[in-house]
Parts: sequence; structure tokens; C-alpha cells
Amino acid sequence: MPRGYGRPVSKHVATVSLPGKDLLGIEGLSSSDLSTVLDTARGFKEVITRTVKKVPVLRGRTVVNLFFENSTRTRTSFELAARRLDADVINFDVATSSVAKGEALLDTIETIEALGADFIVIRHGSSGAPHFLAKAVRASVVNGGDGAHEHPTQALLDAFTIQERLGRIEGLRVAIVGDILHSRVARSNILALQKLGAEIVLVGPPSLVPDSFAAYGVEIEHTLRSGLRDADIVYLLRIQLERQRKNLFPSLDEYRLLYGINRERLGWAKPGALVMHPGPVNRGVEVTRDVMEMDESLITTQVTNGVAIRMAVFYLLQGAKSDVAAPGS
Amino acid sequence: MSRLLVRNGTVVDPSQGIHRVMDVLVENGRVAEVRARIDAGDAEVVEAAGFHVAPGFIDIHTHLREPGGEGSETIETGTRAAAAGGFTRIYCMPNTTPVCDSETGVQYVISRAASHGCINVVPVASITKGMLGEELTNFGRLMGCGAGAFSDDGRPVMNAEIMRRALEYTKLLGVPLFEHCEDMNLTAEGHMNEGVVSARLGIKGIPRVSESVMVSRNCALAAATGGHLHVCHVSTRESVHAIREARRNGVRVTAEVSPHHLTMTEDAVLGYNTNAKMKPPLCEKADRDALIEALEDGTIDCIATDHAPHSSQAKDNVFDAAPFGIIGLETAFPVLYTTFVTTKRWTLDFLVEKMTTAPAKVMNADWGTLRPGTQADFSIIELGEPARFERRHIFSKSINSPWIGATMKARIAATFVNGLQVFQHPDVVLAGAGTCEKLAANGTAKPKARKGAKA
Repeated sequence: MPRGYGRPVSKHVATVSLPGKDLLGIEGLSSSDLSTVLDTARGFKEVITRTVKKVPVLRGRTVVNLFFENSTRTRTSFELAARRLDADVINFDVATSSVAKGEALLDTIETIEALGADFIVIRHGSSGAPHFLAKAVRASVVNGGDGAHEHPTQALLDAFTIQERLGRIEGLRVAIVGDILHSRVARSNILALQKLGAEIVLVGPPSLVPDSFAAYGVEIEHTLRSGLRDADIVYLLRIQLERQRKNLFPSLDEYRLLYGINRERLGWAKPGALVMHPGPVNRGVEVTRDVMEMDESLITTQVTNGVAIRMAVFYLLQGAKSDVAAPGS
Repeated sequence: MSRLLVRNGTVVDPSQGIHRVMDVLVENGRVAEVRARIDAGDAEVVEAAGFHVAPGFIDIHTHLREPGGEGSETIETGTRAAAAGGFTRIYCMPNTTPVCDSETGVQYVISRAASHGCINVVPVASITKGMLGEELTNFGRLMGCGAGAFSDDGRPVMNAEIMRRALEYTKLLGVPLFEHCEDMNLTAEGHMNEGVVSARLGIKGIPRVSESVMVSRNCALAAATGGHLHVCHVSTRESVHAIREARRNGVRVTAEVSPHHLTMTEDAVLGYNTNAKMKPPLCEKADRDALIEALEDGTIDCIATDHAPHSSQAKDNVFDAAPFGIIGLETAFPVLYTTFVTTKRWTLDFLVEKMTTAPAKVMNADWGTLRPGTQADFSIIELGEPARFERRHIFSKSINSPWIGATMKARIAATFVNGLQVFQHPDVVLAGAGTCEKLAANGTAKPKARKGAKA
């Protein structure tokens, strides 16, 4: 059994794991699966605050980061998580490839299998690409964001961050503001936070928050003031500049005018409401700089917690395959 | 004289109001007589007791992909698939490479069908040259060499002026314009019906209004011109409403619906199932219900498969990169029989009518009958026995079917064109059938089987 560096890790054999070999979305997880990830991440957060930040539970394993879309932040977070578990990491950067959508994925699968990957983290512009990959490979597939579908590790780290700060998720009211229609972060967060007992309100213009989202069992508000009422958490989504060109909203300026968060508008939410954002932030559009610097802003904490959550995910998926030592306690 | 007697089958021929056990006598490729207890004499005899005998089905909407798309289908494989589904006459769409917009294109399809096809094939020529929506094709010339209708299927005619002139001009020729109604600006990059399921899967949706806005526009143009508009593959309740209104006002509009839109909803896409990806997309249950009602009350005239073969390489892909369309010739009758007739919603006669005389009527033709003197195109059908539809039952070159593995309660036992057997189901035993040397070992007649028959 491998020993941790710095302080010894507890010796119990992992009996916890996630259902199935892959993490494709929050959709397939139960609330107790979610709690398992959050509990495990707590142990890893302790690990990454030590001087020596490694536990060798993935020693000898290979993690392939397969990113068909640019994302230095998410890829780095996965990479750091894998390295802190002592895995070998290969970054497959196919974002710049001009090969047609889909074809590149099929072609790359064979190569990755041949490399002997144990884990494949995939980010892809097509919704369902991780599900397609998972059927084709033996390796564990982790969804690092697929189209407008899901971004499960983001939702997990967000839930972890909320729980860490407030000690609970159940009963909280979370307002998610912005381009819900095109957001995988929104979908995964709706599912995760609901499963953990939060109440969700979606806020944005009708073109970006269509009525079909009511099927999630969420509230829909089109004005910011009514959307923020009684909110414990104000979760802001990044506004994508290219959407504006498709006339889903008229201009960035108008978006800021109607939905941009500043100190005054934050007052429309519950006193002491926390501000979150998956990054990268369009400063001065979704949120002003001074709000980002408030103590109520969790934006940088989210980034730190991303590594702990991704370590937990690798660890739990590995747990389904073999006996490995659990970190912390 | 070649004579064939199909004995003791339950003949279902809505065109003559027949539904009882009878014999069908075929002489020289034509129906000679339909009545009880015909003396066989020197005729070859097929014992059809326990089976049903129906006029051959007519499909006014298929894609045979030849020329240019032979990787997914050819006229040979497509007509075999049709024969396996009980179809004896099909219309094939012009969205091939090159587009069927010239005499050469029409003649190519006709000559390939004669040499390699096993059933009757009618080419549909395009409305505009290259299907670019800009310049009308030579309708008169193309009809003169065998085109049966005109369509830019797969693409709508977006320019209302072009559509107006096309509708006006076809009045001269008495043929319908088969129009694929879709507003490409509203569809944009959509891949499935826009709604609850697309929201959940994160797939860009196609709004239902993308179809209905064009159905309404085209009905208005048909009203203004008096031309015959035929709306392809109706899929939404709003389109049904628009067609019903137009018909009520006396506009010459006919319409078809596909088996998949009658039996499936957008839920089939869950799991990113690319065999549930087609255009128009599968919609909601309310749409499906509206389509069933519309077929029942006559707002929609007939069933058409929109058989759209795509290779496995193309379909085995992420959802938004996979092409639109599924095959449907082999499964059309079995699926509809199982869904609607075994549940007593429809009579067998109703279903047969919607696949024989109803599509013929859209074309102002009197096909789809076993009336004496007509070409002996018919199928022998086994009903009631549940059987799994498997990949090996597919004769199309492509296997993009959502029904593989489904249990169906109908099988096409054998299909005859011009009195010659062109299909024998591999798992069904039919005494007297499939034994003739005309049938190849795989259960389908080779092209040369048609020698001697007058088409």
C-alpha cells in the first residue's frame, strides 16, 4: 500500500467509488455520490495545502488530457490534480486542428488507446462527445466540458466551495445569471445543487433563458432585480462574445446595463450573498472589479478547489478499479 | 403464357373494398382474376393460406443515393430494401451528386433501375438547377424523359418568387411539387427539435416554427397560383394546422408523413442516438398525436418513408457531426402494423390504403390495386407472429435504423413485381414461392429475373 508524503495518509482501503468507470455528467450521480466526492475532496484539499503536495495513489497511471477546445485553466487544473496523485500526464492539444468536428475524435481514439491511457479527460465542442468516447475505450473518461451539455467537475468544485464557506447547500437559494442556453456550467450546476437540496432561479433574457428550462424544476426570472431576490449565492456565467453576433442579445453594453453585477445591485440579493463565476471573467461586463475583490467573492477559491475536486474524481474512479489508500481522514 | 396462382391468401385490396380469402391469378405479369377458388391449371402455385396478400406499396419519398453516394446506397440495394418492405414502386429524390436536374440525370436513374433495380423506380427531378434555389429546371423536358415529380428535397426553396413560379408552371404539367418545408435561417445550426430534450442534452435546437412558417408560406403560394403543393414529411402540429386550414379553403395541397414521425418522439434522441437524428426532427408527443389524427382525418394523405441511407462511418459519430436521416423501407409496414393495427387503432385496410392508393392518388395515378388488367405488383405478408427485426433483415447498403432489435408483428414474406418474385423473406416459408430460379440465394431476385416481363 503506498504511503503518503509529509504526513501519513490513513490506511483504510478505498471502498468508495463512483458508479461506472466514467464521470460523464452530474446527471448519472445520486446525491450520496455527490457527497462522496465532496467528502473525498476535503481530504485532498488538506493534501494540497501541505508543503509537499503529493499522494502517489495514481503512480504508474497515465492521464491523457484531450482538449478539442482551448482551455488553459481547466486543463491546467486537471493536469495539476493528476500530477499531485503522481500520474503521468499527456496533453493532447487538438483545439487548433482544422479537421472536421467528430472526425478528429474518431481518429484520436485509436492513438490514445494505443498509448495505454488509464484516464482520458475530454473537452469537446460537441455535446455527448465524452459519452461517445466512453463507449469506445476501456479507459475511464472524465468529462471536462462537452458542448452546451455538462461540465461536471466545475459543478462539483462549485458545490464544494459553497459547502466549505457556508457549511451547507441544502435550503440555499442560488441565482444563476447569464447565458443559460449555451452553458454547460449552468446545466451541471442546476443538477448538482438541486440534488444537494438547493433552490435554483435562472436569470437572463428570454433568448438565453428559454422556458424549456422550467422542466428542470427551476424558477425563471428575466429581470435581474426579481431574479436576485432572497438569493444566498449569485452565480454569474461568462457571456460569450460570439453569441451577440447571432442576435441572441443586442450588445455587451446592453447586457451590462441589464444584467451586470455591481455593489449596488448585489444589494438586491440576500445580505451577505456570495458571488461566484466559473471564469474567465469579462471584467466590467458580468461583474465589476470591486465586487470581485469583496470578501463575498468566491471566484479565486473556486479555482483552488478545482484541483482538490479533480484529485477526488480521479481517486474515486480509480477506486472502482483497485484498492488504493485514501487520503486524509 | 406464364401463369401464377397465389392461392388462399387473405386478399386486402382497399381499392376494390376486398378483404377476404381469395385466389389471385396472374397472367403475363398482369392480374388476370381475383376471386375464390380459381382453377390452377398449368399455373405455378404459391400457397398463401394463413398469409395476407396486398397490392405492392408505393413510396413517394426515398433516397437511393445513386449517382454519387454509392457508399451508402445504390439503386440496386435500395430497390432490394424496398422489395423487402413490400414496396413495388418508389420515387427517388434528386439530391444526388450530381443533382438530378437534367435529362441525362433522369435517364441515368431510369436505365440503372431497369438494369439493376428489382422494382419500379420513378425519378423525381429537382425544382431548381443544382438545387440552388435560383433557376428552374426544364420541367417539361424532364417529365418527357420520365421524371415523375419535382422537388429540392433536403433543401427548401427559400426564395418565394421561385416557388411561386414553380407552382405556376407545374399547373401546365399536372404534377405536384414535393416541398421540403424548412426555413434555413430559423434552423441555423440546429440538430434536433428545440425543447425540453434539446435543453437537457445541450444540443442546438431546430424550432418547430422552422417547418410551419414555410408550410404556411407555401400554402399561401399554392392558393395564389392554383399549383399543386405536396408537403413532404410533415412533423409538427402547427404544420398540420396550416395544411388543414388550406385544404378547408380549397387549396391544392397534399401531404405525407413518415413512419418515424408517427411512432417516435424527441425522447428517442436521449443518449445522443444518431439513429434518431433526422430532418425534420422528431418532435413532441403532441406533434405525434396531431400527425396521427391528421392522417386519420385526411389532412395528411399518405405515408412515405423518407428512406435516407447513411454509412456507419457517418452515423457512428458525435451527435452534431452525424448526418440527418434514417432508412425506413424494410420497416415501414411492420412498424406501423405493430404500432397501430395490433392495438386496434387502425384497420389493416386503412394502413394498406395509406401505403398504396393514397400515395398513388397524390400522383394522380391509379396504381396500388389488384384490379384485373393492372400490373401484378403485390406482396404476401405474414401477420401476428412476433419476430425480432435484425440487422440481417436489412437489404439497404446502410444500417442506420432505430428499429434494429425491435419486435414486430408483421413480416413481408414475399414481394412480386410484374408477377415475378423479387423478394423472399429468409425466415418465412411460403410453399411454392422462392423456389423459382429467378430468386438469388440471398432471397432477392437478381436483375435478370425481370427478363421476359413487360414493365
